[in-house]
Amino acid sequence: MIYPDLAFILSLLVKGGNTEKTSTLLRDLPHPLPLSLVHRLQIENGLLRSLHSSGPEKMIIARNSLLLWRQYLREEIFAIDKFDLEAAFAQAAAWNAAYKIQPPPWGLLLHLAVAATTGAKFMSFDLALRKRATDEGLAILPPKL
Amino acid sequence: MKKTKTVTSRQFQHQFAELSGKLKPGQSITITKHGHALGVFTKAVKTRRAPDYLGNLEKLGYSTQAGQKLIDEICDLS
Repeated sequence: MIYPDLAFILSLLVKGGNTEKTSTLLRDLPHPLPLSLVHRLQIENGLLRSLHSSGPEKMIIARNSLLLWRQYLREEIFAIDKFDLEAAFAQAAAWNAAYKIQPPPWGLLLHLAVAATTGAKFMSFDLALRKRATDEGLAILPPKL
Repeated sequence: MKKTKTVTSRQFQHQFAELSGKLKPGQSITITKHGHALGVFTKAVKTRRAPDYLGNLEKLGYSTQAGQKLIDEICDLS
């Protein structure tokens, strides 16, 4: 099983610096991509907030991204699966408390915790999250940046 | 090894929608009659081909920098 972090999924909905890499990486992987309710809330909240913010370009990008998000859910390219979020929150809180340096934002750490509690391969480009994943013995994708 | 859930043939017939709704794709339940296994029901795994993610985004025409800025903003808020 694979489980992506927030930025990874966003790069499939908004054209960014990693979009080409994520698109290539996912080309041969089975779909639907398993996502959690945490992804859903973060993505929909983030895009809706941008849609109602100032800046015409940002609003247009957010609107198009929201349409793509809904399309991929409807076509079952993405699937919102059930995960033990209680266990994931507990794991993320334990890691957070143990950091000796500045921890990653909790909303991003939580995705790593979901992957860890389900034993999924973690998909991320974030260096801090990838290091934590490796330290916890999780497989990461892409294997190298 | 994880034990497969077991239901009676009567439960399977009368509670099919509920039972199959709770199964994840690829998960199975064993159906029994008079205490003996009668068969196994496995929920089908739906597979989809990956869409052309990059192609779908390139049609929209905005710059990668503008898009990355939005990604960073949403991740910072989360």
